[in-house]
Amino acid sequence: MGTLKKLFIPVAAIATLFAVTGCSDVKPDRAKNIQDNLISESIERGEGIKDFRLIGTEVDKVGFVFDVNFNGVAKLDNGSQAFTSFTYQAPSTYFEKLTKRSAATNVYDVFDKVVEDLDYTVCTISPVTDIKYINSTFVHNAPSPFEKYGIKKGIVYNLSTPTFNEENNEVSFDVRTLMDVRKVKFVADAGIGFNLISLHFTLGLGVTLRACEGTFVTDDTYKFITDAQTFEQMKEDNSLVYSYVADAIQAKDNDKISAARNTTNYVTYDAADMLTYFDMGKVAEEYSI
Amino acid sequence: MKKKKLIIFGATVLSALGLAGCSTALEKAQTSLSDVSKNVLNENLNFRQRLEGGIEKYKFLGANFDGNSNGEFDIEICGVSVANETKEKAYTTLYYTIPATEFNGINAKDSTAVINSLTQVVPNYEIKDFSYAPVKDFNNLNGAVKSVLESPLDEYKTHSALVYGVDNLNFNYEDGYASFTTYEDTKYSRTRTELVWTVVGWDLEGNPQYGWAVQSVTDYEGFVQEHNMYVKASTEELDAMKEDNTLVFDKFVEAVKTGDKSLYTVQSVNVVKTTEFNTNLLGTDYSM
Repeated sequence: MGTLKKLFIPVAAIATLFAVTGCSDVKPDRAKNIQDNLISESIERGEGIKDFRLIGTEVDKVGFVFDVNFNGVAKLDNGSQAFTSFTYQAPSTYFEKLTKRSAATNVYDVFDKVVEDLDYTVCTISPVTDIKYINSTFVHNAPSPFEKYGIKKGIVYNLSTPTFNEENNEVSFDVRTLMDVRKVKFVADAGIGFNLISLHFTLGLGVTLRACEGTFVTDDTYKFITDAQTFEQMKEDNSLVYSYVADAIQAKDNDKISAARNTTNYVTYDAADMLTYFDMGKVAEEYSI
Repeated sequence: MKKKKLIIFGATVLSALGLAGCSTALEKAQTSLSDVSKNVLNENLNFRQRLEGGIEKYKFLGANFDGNSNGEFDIEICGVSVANETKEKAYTTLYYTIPATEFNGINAKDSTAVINSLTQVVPNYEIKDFSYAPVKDFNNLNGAVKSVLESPLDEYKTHSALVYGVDNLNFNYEDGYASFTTYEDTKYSRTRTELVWTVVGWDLEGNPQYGWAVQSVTDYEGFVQEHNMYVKASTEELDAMKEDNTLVFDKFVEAVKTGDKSLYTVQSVNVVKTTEFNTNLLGTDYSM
C-alpha cells in the first residue's frame, strides 16, 4: 500500500467529560462547610453578615505565613448584597502536602482546618446595589488575559473597597475576576502509521482540533472621574461607586473611566475553583430583598 | 470493510523548527543590546561602586515592559553578566522609564524589532536603577526554579524554562527568610493519546477504508512568568547572605533539592503569554 493521506478530526471531548463528571459534588459540599464556619464566626464578631457564598479561595504565599482569602458574596443584615472576603494568616505548614493539582477533597481538608483552627484577621465587605449586574458588566468588560484565548466563563469574586482622590474627584478600586479560558486551534500533523491489516508502514497527513484550557485570576484597576456632587454621593454610599462605574461601562463612557490590568495568575489550587458550580444569578435571586 | 490501524505521531518536528527560526537577526539584536547594556553599566557610577572593576560581558536574555498611567513604559532589561576582575557571574537588570511613543510603529510580536528598538532608545535615557544578583552557577538555579514551576494550563507539564531575570533580593530577619523575584521564559507541553475514527486507507478501487486510529500528540504553550521565591534562613545565615549574595541562591537550590516545603515557598505573581509585548529568547542559554 502506498502513502495515505488522512484527515484526523479527533473526538477530544471524551477525556474532558470524564474529568468533569468525576468531580461530582465535592466542591459545593465542602464549600458549604467553610461557608457555615465563616458565617458563624462573622455573626459572633458582629460583622453584619447574614449569609455567605464562597466563590473562590486564594492562597497568597508570602514568606512562610500565607494569606488565605475566602472570597464570595454575602447578604448583609440590612438586606443589601456585598462582595466579601475573609483573610486568614496560616502557617505554610498547612499547605506543605498540597500542589496545584491536588484533589479537591485534600484541598478542602486544609481549608477546613484553616477555618477551624484559626480566626480570620480581616473581613472586607464591599456592598453593591446589584451583584448580578455588577458581575455581568465587569466580566463582559474584562478582556481575555491571553491572545487567541476566549473566555468560556467568568465571575467577579472580589471587589476592593474604593479609594477616593479628593484632588480630582477620582475614585478607584480593584476587580478580581476568575475566568476559564480556552483556545481552540487546528493543527496539521504528519506521521508514520502502521496498518495492522496489510502490515505496512504508511505515512499519514491530517488536521487535528486541539483545545488548551486553564483557569486564571485577573486583577484589574478601574478609575472613575466624576463631578463633585456624584463624588460626595459615592463617598457617602460606597455601593454607588460600583454601579456608577458599571453604568459608565455600559454607556461606553470612556472619558470618565479607565481600566488597567495589574496581574494575571493561575488559580493557586485548581481543586478549589468553584467556577463550574457557582451561579451568580441564582445567588442574586436568593439575596434580593 | 473496516480496518484497524495504529498511528503514532511525533509532533515535535514543528516546534523544533520554530526554535530553529530564532535566526541570526535575533542573535545580532541580542548582541547589540548586550553591548549597549554593558557600556551603560560600566559607565554608571553607582554600578561601579557596587562592582568596582565593572563587567567584561553582558548577555541580554529578556525584557519586561509595564505600561504606566503617564504614557510611559517601565522597562526592565534583564540578563547575565561576568565581572571583570573576579569573574563573578550575576543576573543583572537595568531599569528604565521610557515614553511609549518611542516604540510607536514597533511590531510587538517581533522580538528582533523590539530588541533593536531598545538598543536605539536606551542610550538616550538615563538608567533609573540596576540590580545585581550574583550566583555561583546559573544552571543550578535555573534547574531548581524549573523544578518548582507549575503549569498555568490544565494538563500541561513543564517542558523547558529559562530564568532570564533575578532581582528584588530581600532579607527578612523578623520572619527568618531571604527572598528574591525570578522572571522565567517557560514552555509547557501536553502529550496525549487520541483515538480517532478516520479514513485509514483506500482499497484497490480507490474507495476509502474507515477504522480507528490511535495517535499521540504533543502541544506546546509558552508563557513569561514572575515568581517570588522564599527560603528559610537563620540570623547567622542571613548575615552571611548579606555579605555574599550567592549564598541565598545556594540555599534555595539546596532547599528545593530536599523537597522539604517547610524550607522554601514559591509564589506565582504574574503570567503573560509570550505572544505579547516581550522578547522571547527561550532558545538561548547562559553561555557568554
